[in-house]
Amino acid sequence: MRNLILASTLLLSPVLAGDWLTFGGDPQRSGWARNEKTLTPANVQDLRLEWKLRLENTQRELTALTVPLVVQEVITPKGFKQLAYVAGSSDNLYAIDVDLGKVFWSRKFDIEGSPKGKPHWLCPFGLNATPVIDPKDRTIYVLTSDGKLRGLSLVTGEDRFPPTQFVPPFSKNWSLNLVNGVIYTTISQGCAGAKSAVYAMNVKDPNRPVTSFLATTSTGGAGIWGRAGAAIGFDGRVYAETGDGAYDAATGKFADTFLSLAPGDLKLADYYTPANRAWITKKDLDMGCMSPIVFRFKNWELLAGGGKEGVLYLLDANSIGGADHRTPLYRSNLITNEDVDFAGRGFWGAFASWEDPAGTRWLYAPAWGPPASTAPKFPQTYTETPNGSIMAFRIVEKDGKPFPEAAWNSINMNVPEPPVIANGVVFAISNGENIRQVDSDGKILTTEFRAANPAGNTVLYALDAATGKILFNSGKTIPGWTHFSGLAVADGHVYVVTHDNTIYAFSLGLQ
Amino acid sequence: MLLAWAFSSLLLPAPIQTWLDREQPGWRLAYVDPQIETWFRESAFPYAPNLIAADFDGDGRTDYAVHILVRDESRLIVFRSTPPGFAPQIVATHPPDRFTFLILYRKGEKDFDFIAGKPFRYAHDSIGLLYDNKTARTFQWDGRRFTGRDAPGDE
Repeated sequence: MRNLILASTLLLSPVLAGDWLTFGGDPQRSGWARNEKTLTPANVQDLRLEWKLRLENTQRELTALTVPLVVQEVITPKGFKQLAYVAGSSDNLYAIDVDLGKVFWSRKFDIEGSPKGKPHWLCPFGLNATPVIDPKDRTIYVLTSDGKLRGLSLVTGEDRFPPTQFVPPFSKNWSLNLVNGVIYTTISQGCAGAKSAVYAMNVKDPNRPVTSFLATTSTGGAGIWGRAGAAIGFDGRVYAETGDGAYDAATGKFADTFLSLAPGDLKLADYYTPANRAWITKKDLDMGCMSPIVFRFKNWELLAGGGKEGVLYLLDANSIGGADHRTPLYRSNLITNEDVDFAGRGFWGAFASWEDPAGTRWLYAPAWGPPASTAPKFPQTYTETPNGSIMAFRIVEKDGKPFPEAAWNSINMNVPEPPVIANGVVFAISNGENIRQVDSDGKILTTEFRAANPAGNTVLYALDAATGKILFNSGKTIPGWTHFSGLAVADGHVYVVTHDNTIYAFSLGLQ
Repeated sequence: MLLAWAFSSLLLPAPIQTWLDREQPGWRLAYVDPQIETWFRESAFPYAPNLIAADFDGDGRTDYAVHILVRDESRLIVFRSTPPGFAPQIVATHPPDRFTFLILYRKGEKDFDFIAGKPFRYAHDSIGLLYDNKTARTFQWDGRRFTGRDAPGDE
């Protein structure tokens, strides 16, 4: 009887305010914690470290822990638990009791096969994709380094189905997304010979069929390495940005391009390639370093994205490149990366967006490096931002089209990760990572060097979403640095992970 | 856009225009998509996407690289200043494409050779021909003539 009650409860389980089920909080990767009620601009200055926990994971090059996911109410044999889930690069998964700051259960996955060749930071051969949670089925999906998708019980970590091959073994994969029973991921960097692609698996079909869209015809190039993976539009279409590589749309080579793919079967629906694509590729200004985000503004469904070039694009989801696939709805001037620096400049990760209670649509951009001389003038600024900042824009209608109107530029960050907005607060982290990829002679820097010479420590900031004013910063509380990470905000907690395999939970404490 | 395009051709020295009129009858500057022109203007590139004036051979005199359309073919022609005239060399021919354009690499400018896997600096002002749908080419003066080589990005 207890099981019956449990089962019916589970079937009816809604997404709760304290749930953070996927990278960026939703399939659109908006970064908007829209149900957060606890943290506000008025109280966020009282944030403090509630707990931290070092996990038994071994880093794989620069990667360590994925961005946490959170389920507010998991019915367990020990009662209701709020659990945070974080995966580790050495094929680990941890469920952490948020109230206690202790591991509730963990899994160390057995991996089939081993990678050929020596790992490096481009190809760490580890678990890299942030998992995704299906709240209705109470299942967390994890993609292990052998390319197998695993579906596990949120309660116990037990397998819900046998590990199923999803992507090529030891390929480099990015955050999982889930819509209508289909799991999506992306591939980049040509690791283990895998071609850059978007992959989908229908986990509702007992056969779990896999489909893919290859962004190029050869190994390497057109990598889709935005850490949020693919974004899913409100009608299920799948969006991604690709990196440098060969381009010839007629023969299936889509370097430095926005892709729009049909739900499930991943047929090419549309694409947009910037007119200066050849320059972007020549100068190693990958657009694949970003995942697009999707949001609504007036009657538009918009994609916002960019890349290392430092230009911001707004695309109409219904026709992302116009009739010729080369015409964006909006393309900004150069906003950052005037130095045309391929390693540590431009827009990286993913933008974030929310609509405030007055109906104003905001867009927040993690910029690496200072604003360009051609950037719009930000009415509100705080310091020089030589290393990076969060740039805020209001989306307005101008000449019949959406336009990002500059609003504020934050204090200097070294360098910012994709932000999260909750209840009028922008949470951002300055990651402290050494982002240089090559030395002055052009020699590729090793993981060991980069790890031993960080730019600083990770700092969590809470900024007023309307002004950029600092409401909280964690100072030296987090001694480590983090790489290609992000934030999770759920039920009054802000979660940060660092390369030393530590997860930090900030909150207001007992209220 | 068209005005800027026409203006670019007016910047060509008379001997070059004369040579083009004689040797490339019906020539016109290669068409470039307006988005490329806008981007050039925003970027303050001191040259046009189809016409570059620079010192390609390092002799202190101004040479010209001109990307033209003749009938159904695009041609990149470099005119090296050899007073009292110019020595032309057709360095590339290809099908017309509105997203293919020229880039100037300045002497001493840093770049990365993704074939050799190492950085380098340009010995002379050099010409980049950035094709839309195939690997970019760079043309440099080797002391006798302009030679081209593939110059891929991080592919």
